[in-house]
Amino acid sequence: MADRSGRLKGILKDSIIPPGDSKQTAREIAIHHATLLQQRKDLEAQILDSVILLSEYPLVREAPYSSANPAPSDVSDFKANVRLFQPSDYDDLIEERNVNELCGYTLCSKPRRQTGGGGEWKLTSSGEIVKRKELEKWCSQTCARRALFVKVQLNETAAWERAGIPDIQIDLLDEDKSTETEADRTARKLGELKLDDQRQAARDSAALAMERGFNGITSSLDKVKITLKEKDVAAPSEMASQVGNANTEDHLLVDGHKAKIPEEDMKDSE
Amino acid sequence: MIDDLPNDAKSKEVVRLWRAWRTVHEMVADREYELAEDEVNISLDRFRDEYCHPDGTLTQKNSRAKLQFSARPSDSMLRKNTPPATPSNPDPVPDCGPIWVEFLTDKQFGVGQIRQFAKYTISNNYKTGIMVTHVPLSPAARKSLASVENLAKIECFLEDDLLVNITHHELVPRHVLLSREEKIALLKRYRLKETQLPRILQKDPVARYLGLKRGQVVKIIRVSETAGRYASYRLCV
Repeated sequence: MADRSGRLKGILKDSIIPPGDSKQTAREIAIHHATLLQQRKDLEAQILDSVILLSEYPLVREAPYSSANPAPSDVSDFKANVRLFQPSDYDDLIEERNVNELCGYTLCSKPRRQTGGGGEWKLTSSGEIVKRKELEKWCSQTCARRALFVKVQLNETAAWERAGIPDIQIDLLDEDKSTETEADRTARKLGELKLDDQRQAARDSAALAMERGFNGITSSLDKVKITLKEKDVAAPSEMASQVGNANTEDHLLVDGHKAKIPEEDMKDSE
Repeated sequence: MIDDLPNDAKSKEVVRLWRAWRTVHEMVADREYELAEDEVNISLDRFRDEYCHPDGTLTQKNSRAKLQFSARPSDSMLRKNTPPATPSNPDPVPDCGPIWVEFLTDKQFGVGQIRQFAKYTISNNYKTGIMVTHVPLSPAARKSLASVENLAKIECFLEDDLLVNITHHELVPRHVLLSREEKIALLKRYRLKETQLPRILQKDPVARYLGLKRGQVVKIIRVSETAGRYASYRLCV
């Protein structure tokens, strides 16, 4: 059939994409999306590794350190690893720690509470009825509070959308800042101080751009060339002037028709 | 079949185990691994004799440790899973291998237990590992299965899900896995791309039973009042 009619012609308009270019662009777009997916997978794997790593914490379990006063190295590791978690990842971490028979709070080295046998529900000392599973997640009520304090700071947004944002900081409950020395405090204050407003502003805008998805790869491909073309408008100038003239005789028009009174009649009437 | 059994708790436990044991064997046989007929159709009495203590009890530690077996793929299965020979790859190797099945009794499943199982499976050159557990895996453990996927395929089944063989139910039509040649012939016959086929999820109970991999096609044969039999095809995604 194709032989007979030569190249069949569609009734639709020609597509805007030039034919020679389309294969190349399609390939580029495919690669672009593939890299995005790969990035996401890498991040997910990284989060899983963090979960597995943190399920064995704390590393330092000696006497001076406890869940209320954890070792600084553990704290910094915990904060660095938990940064990208979604709340659901954090729940996974708690469950994984419980499988390892540890308290759900990452910086607590005590084993989790065992309430023994019994039903699904448990009566606490304060008179509340709670699920036994909930109760057995932690070693104590304070640890539960500490863990949940971290959880509420986590963001529902997918990890790959905020991986590059430096502003995410996780704080711990009752992080004690009174015991640090004067030098420490000034050092911390100094760090917090905005030394260079301009640099801070640039960083803010970069973070904002990242949040909105303008990262390196996207910007190169997702942009569409836009040329604004002014449409020539022929002003209806003559018409307007005509109308202007007609305006003076508006009162003579009947249904848009102006009755012409013959010259002779005019004279006769005079 | 179940009515004439004594009702005390211990024998109930044995019966549960026996039923799961049978279903797993049927599953492995349906995937066309080599299993003897009497291995699959083990009677309850023989199961008691082999895997329980003389007094009929079942101490968790000892007996369940014995509840494990392996099987080799049959010739027809090997043929089915061999990719067609191409000029660049004139002598293709089948992408299936021996299977390892184990019943595990741990009360909880974390990444540690999974890794241990995966390590055992991989180091003994099994291509597929099936673990039958009492409790569901922890979410992190389930995610960690994906990381060993290209070394060995680890599948997890709950003992509760294996008490009956779902494929024997009258509402479940027969699912037949197509070989690669059959798949190519099918796509050619109907002039389809594989994405144009109807789909079946990998987590579909029957797909899990047959251990389908992404890209495989099953032929589903239903009975039809008007046509007698009606075949449809689904691509596993």
